[in-house]
Amino acid sequence: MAPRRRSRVQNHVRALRERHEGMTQQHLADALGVSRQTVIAIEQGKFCPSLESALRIARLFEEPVEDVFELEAD
Amino acid sequence: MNSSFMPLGPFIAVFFIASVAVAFKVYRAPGDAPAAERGLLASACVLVGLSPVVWLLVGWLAGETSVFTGGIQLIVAAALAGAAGLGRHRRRQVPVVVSRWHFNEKSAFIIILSLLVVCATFARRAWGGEDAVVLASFGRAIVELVVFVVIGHIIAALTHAPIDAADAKPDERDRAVTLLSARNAYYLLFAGFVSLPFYAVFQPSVVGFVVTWTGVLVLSELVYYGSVLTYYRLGTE
Repeated sequence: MAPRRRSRVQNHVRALRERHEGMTQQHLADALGVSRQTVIAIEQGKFCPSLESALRIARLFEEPVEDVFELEAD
Repeated sequence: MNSSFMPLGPFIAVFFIASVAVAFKVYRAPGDAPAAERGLLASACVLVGLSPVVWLLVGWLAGETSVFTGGIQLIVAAALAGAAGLGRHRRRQVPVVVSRWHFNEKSAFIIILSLLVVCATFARRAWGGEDAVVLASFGRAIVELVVFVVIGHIIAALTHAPIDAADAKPDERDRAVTLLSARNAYYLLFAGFVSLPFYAVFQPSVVGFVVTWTGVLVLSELVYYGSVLTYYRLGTE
């Protein structure tokens, strides 16, 4: 049996956030309406956000959603 | 009843009304303080006003007073004011101090610990005892559990940073963790429920049956809160 993977959806939220100078995890959390711990979990790949939040994140960073989130290659 | 305390009544009534008015003003005060912080201060004001009222009533009814008659209210008021001060201090620190653990994680940890301690002490007291002993221990265990959980949550809420995050609305991750944990606990609860007829056959007494069934509930709660803790720590993916 193949070992279970953490998540097949990878994201670049942390890199994008760091590229936007001055944007903290708290700023992102406030913009999404979630807690800061949830943003940390998303950045660490421990939690896959809902489609609505994913679209909001993409809009916030002015990037196409597929540049923020991608399906891990098989 | 001891009427020697009564001459102080009007002064204490005025003091209590003034305290409530101050509490109301503190809670409605403009500024950047979160509602939880203002609520703690307002509660402290009300308790300070309540302290002499309790002292007066106990003195009037019982004829004597002690440190518990009003003193407890002052101690709790000091704790609440201290917590509000701590919250304010943390809020003004740069960078702002934020608790590493989500409040739900702390809550789950407190409940798991309380359940384990109370169940262990219950088993030690009641194991092999008569029905009356088991029933008395069972009632005592329920009271102990409530006290442990309530005190634990008060301490966790007062030390959480930022303090208003303790009663924040659940977000999508919180809801996902709750759903997944409830699913895990449901399997055990369902298994326990369908096994009820077998317990009834092997348990000679009603008390034993109730304790066994409560044991299933406790196990499912342990699975639920254990799952909550695990999903918050390790992730839901």
